[in-house]
Amino acid sequence: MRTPPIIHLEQVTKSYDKGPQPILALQGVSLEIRRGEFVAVMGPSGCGKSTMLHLMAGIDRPTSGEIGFEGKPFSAMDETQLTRLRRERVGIVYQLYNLLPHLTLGENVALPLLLAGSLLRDVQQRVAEAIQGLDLTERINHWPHQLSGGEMQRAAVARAVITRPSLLLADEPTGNLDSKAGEAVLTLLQTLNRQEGYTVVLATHSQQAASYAQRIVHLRDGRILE
Amino acid sequence: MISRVRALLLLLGRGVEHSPVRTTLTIFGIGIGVAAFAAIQLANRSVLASFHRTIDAVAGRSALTVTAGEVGFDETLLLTVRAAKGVQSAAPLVLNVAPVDGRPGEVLLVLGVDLLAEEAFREYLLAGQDEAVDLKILLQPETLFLSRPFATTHGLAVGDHITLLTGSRRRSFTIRGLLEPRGPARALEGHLALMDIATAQESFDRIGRLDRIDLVLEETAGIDTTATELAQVLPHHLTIERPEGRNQQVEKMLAAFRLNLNALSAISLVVAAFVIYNTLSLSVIQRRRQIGILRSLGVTGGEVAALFIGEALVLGGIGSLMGLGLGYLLAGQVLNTVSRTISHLYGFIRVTAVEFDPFTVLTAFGLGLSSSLLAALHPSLHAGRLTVREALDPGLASPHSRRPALLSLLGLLLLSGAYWASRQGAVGSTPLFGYVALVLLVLGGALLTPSALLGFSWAIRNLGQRVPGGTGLLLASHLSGYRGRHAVAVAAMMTALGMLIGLAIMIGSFRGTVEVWVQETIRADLVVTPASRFTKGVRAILPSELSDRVRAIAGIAAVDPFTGLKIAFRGRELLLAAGDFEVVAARGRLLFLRGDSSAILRGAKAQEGIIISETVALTHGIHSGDQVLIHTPNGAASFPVAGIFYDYTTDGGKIAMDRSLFRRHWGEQGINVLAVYLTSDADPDVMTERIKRAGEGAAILVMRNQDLKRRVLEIFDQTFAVTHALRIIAVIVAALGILNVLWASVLERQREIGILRSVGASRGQVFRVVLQEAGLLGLLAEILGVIIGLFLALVLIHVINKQSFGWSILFAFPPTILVTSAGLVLLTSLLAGFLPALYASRVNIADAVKYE
Repeated sequence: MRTPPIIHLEQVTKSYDKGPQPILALQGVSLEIRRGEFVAVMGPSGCGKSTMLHLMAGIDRPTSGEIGFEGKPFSAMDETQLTRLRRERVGIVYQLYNLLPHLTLGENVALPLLLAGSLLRDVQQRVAEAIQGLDLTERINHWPHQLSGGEMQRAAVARAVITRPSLLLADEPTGNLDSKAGEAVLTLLQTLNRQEGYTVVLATHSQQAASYAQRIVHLRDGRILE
Repeated sequence: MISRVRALLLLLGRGVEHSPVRTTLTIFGIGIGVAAFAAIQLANRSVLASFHRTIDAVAGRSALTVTAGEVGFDETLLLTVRAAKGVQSAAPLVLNVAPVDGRPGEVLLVLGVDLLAEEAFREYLLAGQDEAVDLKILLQPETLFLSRPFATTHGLAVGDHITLLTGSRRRSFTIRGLLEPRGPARALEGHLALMDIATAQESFDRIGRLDRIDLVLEETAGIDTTATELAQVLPHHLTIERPEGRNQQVEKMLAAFRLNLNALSAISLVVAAFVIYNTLSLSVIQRRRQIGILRSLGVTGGEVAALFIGEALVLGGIGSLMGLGLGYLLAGQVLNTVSRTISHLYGFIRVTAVEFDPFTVLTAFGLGLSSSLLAALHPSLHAGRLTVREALDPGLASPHSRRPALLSLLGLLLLSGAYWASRQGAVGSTPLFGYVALVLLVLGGALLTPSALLGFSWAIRNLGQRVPGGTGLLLASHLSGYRGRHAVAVAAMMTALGMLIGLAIMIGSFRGTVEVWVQETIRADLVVTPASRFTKGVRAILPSELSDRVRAIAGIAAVDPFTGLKIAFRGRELLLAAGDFEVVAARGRLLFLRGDSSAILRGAKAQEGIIISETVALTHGIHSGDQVLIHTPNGAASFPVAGIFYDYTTDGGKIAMDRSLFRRHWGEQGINVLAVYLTSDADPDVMTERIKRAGEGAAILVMRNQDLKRRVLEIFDQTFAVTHALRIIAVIVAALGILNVLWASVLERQREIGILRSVGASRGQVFRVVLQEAGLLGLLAEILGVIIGLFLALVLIHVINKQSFGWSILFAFPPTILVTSAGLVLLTSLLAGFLPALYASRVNIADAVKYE
């Protein structure tokens, strides 16, 4: 039996008014991603991958079309509900430098729980568990500028999943990493998908990175290639 | 080369253009700083110029003048002067300041001249006549000439009458002519009346006395030689000097007052320099990538540094120009307050317009520009030293690159220097080291701010961990992470607050001391003075028979007749006072540094000694028991010092003696004030009426004890009125600094804010974090400001005031200052934080997290 989609896009268009001509980042995109899937959105730079992920996370709104999370349309949600959705149900990993520079690694990982109202001392155990398998335990009190790119990105993944979200979005997470660190991050995402059951959407321009996914969606000039 | 310079200039222009908020804030910061400085300077200059104009206008062509303070001298000395070798002609003068009856606040300088001797000295021109005035029409009694502008303002014409308060009488004079505003008629900004010397002597109870003799010398006579000759033939209590000597005396008299104002105005410039430093540091941080690209394209480190210095000079230049305009407008307001204060403290002055003084304008502009340059040096050189790799790789931009430990060490060193400087004595009568201590305190405090921020953020972090919502942690991380730039904003705010609090404590302590002194020493039930007494410079005496008449009134227990005269003492002017020491010993009280008031006063009377105020003791190094030589009209006399007392009425100090001793040496000089003690059953209101009746229509004031005390404190409050405006200006400039930092910080942290929002922070949480950050920066500035302010107050009280004026002030910490300053700080910081917070909460997440 097919599981219901965790997120769906229906005829989504996104345009930006920059300069004399509006730029069409996405044009009539329709897509369904089911619970437990590992989907790679693949395409060259500027094809609209990041825009698609931002729309899925509710940090941007489509110009037309509809996006729904577990059947509930984003258009029916206000800013507060979208914020709550990001805090509790969606985890995001960016390309690089997405740890807050003045928080330690441990504090960065704990941040979503703290923003949700927990106290640092109450979540320390959970943070320790989240980074246990990521080879970061020794680095828990280090500042981001003292970490390597790979360590930073693994910490970002730990932060994204600390609230046990339903959906994990990763926007070019290996873009600034060497191949070994990149592979480690991709393996981590794969493990999270296979062993923990996370639904993962990975935006990438690399065929090799996309190969870790179960399904690849090709995006070019804002359209999905069938 | 030229195209290279052009390219750099283009970049400079773009940098300014692309940060409109920061640019505007900086220009305003500098502008307000320069405006405050220029306003004070222009007002000070205008006051001084007005004094000089009056002195020069009256001096005319005289080469030398002979004076004897307020005592004056016998007119027979004119013959001695005229007979002296080298003197071609001598013109006697009687000078008085007289309030105009029925026109409150209006005062005339009344010049009594020898009509026959004037021609060689001064020129007068009557309105409507081309020739020089025939002064002889003034020989008719009760007549005068009035300056035309004054007459026009008050609708007076030739033939009209004008009533003046001459001492304790009202006298009506007929206006015989109007003087064009040239020569002496320009004195006191055209507030001049000219009368015959005999009329002046009669009107002002100066029969047989002169205030001054002006001299024109023979062509061959040397000025100094003639002065020496005159000194040998004239009594020692007379002063023989060039007319410009009087100008120097005025400058000396106002020096301490002006120095305090100047120091205060410099604070706003210091705070403005912090704003520029801040802006440039932020500019360097924000343009790291640009610097990296430039350096990789072959621009040298020196050129990069020059680019930032250029930016500072452009912003400083525009701000300074704006400040000059604003300062000129502000100067009008400051001038009113300053001239009112000087009129109360030193002598009546009338200044109507701010004078444009190119030197002051250039100085203010130069200071604005040079403080911008000075403040820009460190951040510019830092920019120049950045390597391409450091500039281009944000990962290398370590947020903890500042060295608070080193800065703290330097700060502690400066604070030790401040302590050392505060222990040093005055240079002349200027508390030079006191000012050095103030500067070192402020700089030392500023250098300690990074460490203080670190400690503060540690405390917030610990506290924040106990508050759910994560904002405590974020706040602490921002405070410590961006402490370099935050420290500058906090230091600027701390400086402004420290000075504000220091001054408030000093003024509060001073007021408290004066209050105690007033309560302790003003004991008379009623005080009788001539109505014109409260106009400074007016030499007003009571009718000679009034004292005896008052003493005879039933219900009056005792009367202490007081006489005060300004005399020259060891090259300075001070007040010589005489009273009935027995009455003061029995009923009144003076606060002595040591010993019982009654015993000292009776002892002084018995041994024919004097008592001196602590100002005189400190200025001249005189101790109790010393013998002091004073030049009296009867020759030099030596007096033993019986005691030293606290006194806050004059800034030159006071020497007091019993009336009988005074009369023996200075003769009968008339009585200025009667301190009246009532019997226990007497009704003050009834007594007031009886005293007024005894005055027989004389223009006298009878004040009750409480009225006089209130009056003293009113004058005190007016004296410090000007400092309020300056303090507020300093806080505004500091608030601009905080706004500047937060604005730049929010702009720079857009990516961080984006990440924060994308991991679940709400708009409200982001808004609160930025606003709380502003509030916490303000709170830290307040804590540090209170600490620094306390020390500044100690220096102001125990070093600067003590060395400038010789006044002992009891330190008192007014708790209200904590509440008011904290309220002010919180309000200004939250206002400064509101816009950046709003902006931060509305950051577009998708744009913010985009990676280039």
